[in-house]
Amino acid sequence: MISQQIESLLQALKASDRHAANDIVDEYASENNYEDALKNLLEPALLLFGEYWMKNPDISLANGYIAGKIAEDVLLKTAEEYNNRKDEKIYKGIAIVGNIEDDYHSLGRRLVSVFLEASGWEVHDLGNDVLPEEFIDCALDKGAKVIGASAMMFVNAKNIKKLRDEIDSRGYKDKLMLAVGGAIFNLRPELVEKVGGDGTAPNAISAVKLFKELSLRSKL
Amino acid sequence: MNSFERILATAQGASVDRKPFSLLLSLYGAGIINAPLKEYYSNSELYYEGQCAVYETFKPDFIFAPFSIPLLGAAFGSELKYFEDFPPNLRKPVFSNLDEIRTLPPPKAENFPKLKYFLDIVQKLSSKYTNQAPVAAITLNPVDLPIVLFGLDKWLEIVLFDKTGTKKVLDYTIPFCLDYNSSLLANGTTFLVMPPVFLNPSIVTREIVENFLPIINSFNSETKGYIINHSGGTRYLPFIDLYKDSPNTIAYVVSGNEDLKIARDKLGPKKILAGNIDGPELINLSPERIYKKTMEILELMQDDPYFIFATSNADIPLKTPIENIRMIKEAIKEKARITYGRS
Repeated sequence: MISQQIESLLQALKASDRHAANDIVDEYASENNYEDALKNLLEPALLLFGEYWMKNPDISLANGYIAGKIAEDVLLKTAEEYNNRKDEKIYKGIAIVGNIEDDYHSLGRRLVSVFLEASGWEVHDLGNDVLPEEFIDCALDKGAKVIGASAMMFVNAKNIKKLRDEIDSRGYKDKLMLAVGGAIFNLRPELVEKVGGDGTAPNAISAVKLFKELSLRSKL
Repeated sequence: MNSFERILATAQGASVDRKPFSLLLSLYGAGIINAPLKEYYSNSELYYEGQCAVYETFKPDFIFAPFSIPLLGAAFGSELKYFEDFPPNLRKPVFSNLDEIRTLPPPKAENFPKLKYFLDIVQKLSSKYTNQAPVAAITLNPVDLPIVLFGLDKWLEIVLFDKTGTKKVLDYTIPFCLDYNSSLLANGTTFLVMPPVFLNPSIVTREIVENFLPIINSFNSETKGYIINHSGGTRYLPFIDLYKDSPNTIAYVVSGNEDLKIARDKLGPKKILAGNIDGPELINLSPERIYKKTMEILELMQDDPYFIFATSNADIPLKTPIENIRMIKEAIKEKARITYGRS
């Protein structure tokens, strides 16, 4: 039964049908709850959608954005449930995200935040034009193991190297892990290594897996 | 044949002395005249000097006004960030919410003093190169312009979830873009270059483009000049068929990694198709590789009378060795010698 519902939700995600997707989740939650819907229905459907996205270049940012909105819808409904039983909330880790210095293309970063939160991460989103020291100070303050830095264009991606250097010079190499992302890294994958990223993901949904892997690799 | 005659002949599928070629050297002119980019992108005289130097150095078949969308954003009041080697970028979008569009003056180009920079350049270049070489100026259609005003994510959200808001924005951008295009044409622009910076397959779905198509077509119809649809560096082929019959649109520039033959199949035989070497990549290739790749493209398209060799995507980088760019011209000349027995 659940696999059929996951498939239906996947089809709604592919069709960018926000209304149908919410109906499927609501129906499942009415028999169970939103937390289970998040874990058993949305997460697997998003994972499949992410795989589909990677294999299918015709998926646009608009498709991803609507998928993000659907995740946000479910997340908000789950949050309402949490309000009544906060002690039960389980998270997978703490992540710091932001667009690197001089970068103002926030959509990808916001999608990453949505999908990380939907998957149980506590996300601290620092917004656009974030300096290296701001990323690191916040990570240390909040106890995060992973920093996600986003850049859309080559000229700004180079600023991520400053963040790499700052992490290393403060002695947090292999401790504070650096995830990098944005359109330019999909176009020029070799840049990941050049700017000192510990890993990247081709889209927002895949970022969840990346953050988990980096968190496990962290020696903090 | 001069450039003007060559482009005109290509538009008609007539014979030419050699294939026309276009090099996006909007930025590169600053390097030739050794101008700091902040001045180059704010002083029309300096930009004009740079493009004259480009023309004298390479003799391309098109001359470009500044190929910079952020400069359009600056005209609306957004702050620019300048770089040593790259064109300026917007620090942030002009507006953070939809209602702020009300603060704009009436949608006339004359109400935005910074647009004078573009208009002056076009006027100077077209005066100098009248009937010699066409002048191409970048502009945006009314559905793409809001990406500059609101940023990509905000405009996408408005388009996806706020029909009233979308209409409110277009009610402003349509008359503005028409007036600005008229001003560019009145000052001597030969071709209006419109990259679909929003309506492209990486950002929106085909259905979204189809919904906006009547607006785009009506807008292009009211634009009394020739339009070049330019990929601008994004994926383009999946939607090229949607734009192929757009009024007044005579040429299509595909991205550096897209297949010219597929593009031709989708466009039909009698539209100008341009491409297909990646301009920003020229800095990373050897002169020999550039020559070979140019020859390969010319051979592939040699029987296509509506083909123009062009660098695709964004500007050719400032520090690209001059020899790399010259190799394109050498290959064009050599191919003409082989094909027509002349250089």
